[in-house]
Amino acid sequence: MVELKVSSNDFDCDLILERRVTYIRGDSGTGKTGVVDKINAYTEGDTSVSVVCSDGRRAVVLNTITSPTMLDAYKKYVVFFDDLIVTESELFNSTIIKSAIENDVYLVVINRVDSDIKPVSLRVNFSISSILISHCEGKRHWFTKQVEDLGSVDFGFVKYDCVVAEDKFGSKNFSKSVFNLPVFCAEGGDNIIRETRNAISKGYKSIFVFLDSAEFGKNFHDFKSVFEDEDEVSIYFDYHYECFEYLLLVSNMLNKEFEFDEVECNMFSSWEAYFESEIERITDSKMYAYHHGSKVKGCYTHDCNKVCNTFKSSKCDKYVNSDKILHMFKGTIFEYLIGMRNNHRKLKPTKEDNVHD
Amino acid sequence: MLKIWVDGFRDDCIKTPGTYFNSHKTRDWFNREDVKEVIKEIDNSIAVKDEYIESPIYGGMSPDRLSQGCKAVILLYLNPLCNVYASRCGDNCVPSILRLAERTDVVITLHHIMKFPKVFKAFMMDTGVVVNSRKEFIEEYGRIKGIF
Repeated sequence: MVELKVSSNDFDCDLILERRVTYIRGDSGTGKTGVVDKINAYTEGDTSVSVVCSDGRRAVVLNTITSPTMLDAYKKYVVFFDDLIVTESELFNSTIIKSAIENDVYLVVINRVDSDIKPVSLRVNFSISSILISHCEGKRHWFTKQVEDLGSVDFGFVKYDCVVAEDKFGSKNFSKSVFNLPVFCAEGGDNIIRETRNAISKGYKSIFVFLDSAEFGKNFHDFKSVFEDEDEVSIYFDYHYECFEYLLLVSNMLNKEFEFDEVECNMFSSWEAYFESEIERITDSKMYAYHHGSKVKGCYTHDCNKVCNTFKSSKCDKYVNSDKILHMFKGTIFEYLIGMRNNHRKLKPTKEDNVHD
Repeated sequence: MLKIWVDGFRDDCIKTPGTYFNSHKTRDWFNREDVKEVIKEIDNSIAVKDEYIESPIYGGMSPDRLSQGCKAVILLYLNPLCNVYASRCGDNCVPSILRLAERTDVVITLHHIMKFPKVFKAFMMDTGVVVNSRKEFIEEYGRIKGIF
């Protein structure tokens, strides 16, 4: 995390950059360009302006992107792009992120528009927690995470009538195995809006969406805009849910082996990529080995006695002779899944569950 | 009537309203009552006379220091058909844009879902569809952009 303090006689703000890419949005006249102007003034030698980064790095405003390698000249900088068309274009894509990582550059993009370049894999991935909204009152300027402006609810107490799962395997497998609810599978963040609308068109009115918040930033404005006026439908999502792999890593099954390393995670193209890497490393060669993009083992969704025979259980260092979901999530930030499961309990596995690996 | 392009940029689109404003502005712009109202509404600043503007943050300043959104809306007030890139405008610019659209045709380009009021009217230039609400606008926007 990098904290950037910008101050002068007529301007004062703190900017917290948790991740490699941050987007700043908000109403006109709230000081977004003000931050940029102050950094430019500081860069040009205006001693009345102070720009201080918590880890000593420098800040700069770039007016264009000529190539991804241009970031080579800005190693360990915080680089700002202010309302540039180029950040909506093909030039601002995943190769910029790779370059930013190689050069340990933090990117701050001031833009209301997300790139919709194709293919999707080229787009810049950023977290919904990385969208900051600007505010101002007189000389004071501050930023809030957009997700913190949303309401909150105890997900475990809500009665849902369906689930929309982003993943083809992860959250889809989990939901189908654990909840007695219809599950719509989006197969990617770009299809979440479509599948949620699909669920609404079929009459569902209380929908829990497993969206990978670590990379959903580029879809979040549209998602929020499309559904915030749905008066008769309630849509729930947990922005702490970075991705399915994170859910498993912070569960009681794996959290003793998982130690979140903020420096290391920002060496990946997104935190989701980091969590995928970590869970594969931690579970490698184990009976509960996890691979992103593969069907989720029954170890993570069903009681051990339903998944393994006595012999296999005796070989497993994660064997528990109790309710698996309760064991996995009790006391974690996803404890509400226990309540969700209890409210929508599957009485017995179906043929579809295929619990035996 | 508000007329909105959603897909791509037309040749006549002012893609960088801030830069365009700075290089084209003339002092008489800021003596217009409607422009003064826009500056007050969006940037909470007072256009005193010619290019002298009083800001609660910066004190006396030139129009260059107005926000990008404010500049974009001023350009529309000077030439409603100028097809300004309104994705440079925050949601707080919507009232002034719609007020202008009530009395004349206004053409803008939008590449994001702007927060219009629940009931408003606009003509979607890409498809020729008239929308009468925010919901209809989002539907048509989503259809044009392939989100749905």
